[in-house]
Amino acid sequence: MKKRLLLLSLAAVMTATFTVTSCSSDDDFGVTAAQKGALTLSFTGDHISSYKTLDVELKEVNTGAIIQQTIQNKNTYTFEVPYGSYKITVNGIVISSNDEIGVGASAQTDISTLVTNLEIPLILKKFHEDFVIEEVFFTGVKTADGKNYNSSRYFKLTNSTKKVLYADKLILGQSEFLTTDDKNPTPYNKNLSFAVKAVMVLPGSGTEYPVQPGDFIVIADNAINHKENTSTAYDLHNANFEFPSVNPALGQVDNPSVPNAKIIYSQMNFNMFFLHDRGFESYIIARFPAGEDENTFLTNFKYNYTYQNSAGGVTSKSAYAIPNSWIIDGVNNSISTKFVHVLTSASIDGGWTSVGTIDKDPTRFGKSVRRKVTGQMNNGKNLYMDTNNSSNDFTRDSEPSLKNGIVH
Amino acid sequence: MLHTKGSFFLLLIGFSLTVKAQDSLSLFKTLNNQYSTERNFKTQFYYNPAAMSDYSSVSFSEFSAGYHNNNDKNYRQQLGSGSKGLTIEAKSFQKLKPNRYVWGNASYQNLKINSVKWNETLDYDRIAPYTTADSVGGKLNLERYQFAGGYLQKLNRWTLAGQVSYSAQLGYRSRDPRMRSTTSDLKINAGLNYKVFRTYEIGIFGELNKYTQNSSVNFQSLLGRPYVYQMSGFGFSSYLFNGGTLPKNTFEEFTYKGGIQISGNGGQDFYLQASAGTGNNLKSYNDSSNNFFDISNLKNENFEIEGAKFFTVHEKHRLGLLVNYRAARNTGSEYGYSLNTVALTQIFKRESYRRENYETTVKGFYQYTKDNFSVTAVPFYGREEIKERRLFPDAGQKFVYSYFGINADVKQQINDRQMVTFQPYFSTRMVNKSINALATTPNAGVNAWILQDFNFQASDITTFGASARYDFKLEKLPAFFVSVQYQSQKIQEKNNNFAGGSIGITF
Repeated sequence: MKKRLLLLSLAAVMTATFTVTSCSSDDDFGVTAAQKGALTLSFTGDHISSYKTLDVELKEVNTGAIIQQTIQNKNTYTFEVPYGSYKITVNGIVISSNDEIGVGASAQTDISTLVTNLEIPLILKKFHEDFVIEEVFFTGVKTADGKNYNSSRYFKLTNSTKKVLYADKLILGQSEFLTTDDKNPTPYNKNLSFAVKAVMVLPGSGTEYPVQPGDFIVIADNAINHKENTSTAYDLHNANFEFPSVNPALGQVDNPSVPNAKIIYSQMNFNMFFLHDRGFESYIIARFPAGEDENTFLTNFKYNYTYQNSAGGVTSKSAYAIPNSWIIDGVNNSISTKFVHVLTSASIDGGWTSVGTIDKDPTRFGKSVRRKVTGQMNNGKNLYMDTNNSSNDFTRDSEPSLKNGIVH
Repeated sequence: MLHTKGSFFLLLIGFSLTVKAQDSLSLFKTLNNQYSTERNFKTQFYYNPAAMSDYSSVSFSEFSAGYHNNNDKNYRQQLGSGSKGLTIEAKSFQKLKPNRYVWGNASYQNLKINSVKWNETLDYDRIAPYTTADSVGGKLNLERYQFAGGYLQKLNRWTLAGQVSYSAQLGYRSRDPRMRSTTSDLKINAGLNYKVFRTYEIGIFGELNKYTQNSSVNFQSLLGRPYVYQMSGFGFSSYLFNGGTLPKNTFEEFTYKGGIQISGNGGQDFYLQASAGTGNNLKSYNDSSNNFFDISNLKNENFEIEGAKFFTVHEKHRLGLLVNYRAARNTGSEYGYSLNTVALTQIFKRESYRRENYETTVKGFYQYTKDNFSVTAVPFYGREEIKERRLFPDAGQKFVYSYFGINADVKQQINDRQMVTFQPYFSTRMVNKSINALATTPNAGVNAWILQDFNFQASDITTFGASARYDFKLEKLPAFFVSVQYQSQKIQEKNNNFAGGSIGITF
């Protein structure tokens, strides 16, 4: 009797435990799984009479999930999104003074509550009757036996106007920050200026370097025939300009027949302007407005900022910032597996382009980013797409246009 | 590591040589007790260390060294295509006094695991889906050290016992991707039994388990390197922490488990037991900075119930029936961080993954024993359901399996000093249901791996194999043995083959 009672008691305890286990939720993840919030975006802007189309992209940086939505004929939209940290880009067309005008914006927000409202001021895309960045070859090449070759990279700028332009005193700026990492610096406002770690200025007094409509200039890191060094590199001996290089480790020999650009600011040793070969940087071209030159720039446009470092301390850093009003074109570069944010105002470039897909992608060498051709000018030269959205305007992983040398 | 290895071998050899000589029995009776098929049939019964007083009526020890080669043609890529290597093992059970027992074991393994891909961590079953992975992988070198010791004391109606076991692993690869992982696993078990009436005992038992894994991946090639993923299930991964150039991970787990047991005649008549446990496995990530960020937490909950009943018919026939049910549920939570704040700040912790496993097994036992011969047959049937799914993005899979098979054991004494053992076995896994609710990831390589892994799990498996062992005893020396094993597994018209051999002494 005692044995039976004991067995029955034990069986009852076990059955109770079993029941608790098997009755637990079967198909849902519980309350915390429903972590979603309503994100309402409101778009504003001066002198906008109506909103035609707005292409909105939300990128959640923890999961990499992308939500895309085209909004037509209205300026508010509510998304239901999972909790997360979002980077938002907007490119679109609005009506202002009966004209269709390109607009863009970038914003960011964290969704960790049920309701979030965000107002996004739209910025008019600025188009200049000036040079555009047609191509950037930043990855470089490997030698035929797979060794590093630190030269033969270039910028290619094109006169896409109908008038003769002058390359004199054109500014090239290299971003201080990376598109793959957001340090959240303070202060920081990309709608006012573009932070730079290096600035290069082309020579000339104003009319020394004319460029015909549709023609281009090449600014090479070293204007020599690199094919003589390695068969995988390109002949850039007839580039229009070259970077000055005094770093003996690079082994670059100055070509006296090609004028050197002047590096007026660099954070690197030997005053170098050295392109990020993994493609995480943004580049801009700009012109000094009247009354400004390299001296006033270096005097008045220092950019001091702080950010919290990985150890939890505060790092103070000093760089320079080029006002957006000086900038005539720009391009953001990143890779799809690491992209976090664009470094330019949407008025300059609201998108990004790329070579390769992963960090240190071994397939990236010998590829560039090139602007798409949309047609031809009257003189037979190419006409390039320019909507100030490089996601749309550029072809990723392109074959470099100067692979077979510089032919105008 | 060399010093550790040397010390471990001294411990292993010392351990095996210091045990006492066994009681004087015939070779057949000694080995039939030492390798009792009934004891192997009810291994869960001895999970309660207080049940170890009924493990054996006499003391015994074994020291063995073996080598195996496992060549899989169809396999889960994250686990590799088989292993080969050396195993050295010593184990002993000693009855010091009628009311005092000690036992222990120690082992060392040195393995090479071939073609491990999409997994740069150890103990996959423990940490999945939160592995670290890349598309290259390669051969993995693995060393395992393990030792355990237990002590049991009887005091009138009470039996108190404890066991401590520790295992450590070192996994590494000497070419890119240079994975290196170390694990430590400490378990403390305790059990308390009380004799309530005649031979009936009731007991409680528990286990504390502390587990740690530290892993890293680095690269030395200048020509390129694969992308390293922090996986989160079904091929999805953490966009924020993927792509590290020197990724390091820690896995910290603490689990506890408790149970109750009731038995008659030391489990030889019947036993009934239930246990439940829970724990958390926290994964952290670091990429050459000072901070480790928590990226996932895998909560595991398990419940198990088992009962068995044995009968003896005409002294020589022994019959038994065992029923086991186990349920395990792993719930994964992922941590989210803000990139919009001054420093990387956690903004959410979200339950995003769940894996449930329900398994019921029924096993029969029949043994016929004569003075110098025994034959055992253990037929079994099992049903298992595995349900696995995740959110954000949604994906899942489900499998329902049926298992059946039979294990046999034949022991025959040739003469007073020689004996042979033959153990053939056969089993089959049939897939009753498989549901593919997988979602496409942005990476075609990852998609191919996940699909192949699904197809593997959705495949029937037929296994047959056998082991043969020859024991012989020389004058004034311990008994020696030599054994060989072969197994073939058929999956999707391909055969996975295993061959192994070992030598050793029993005393």
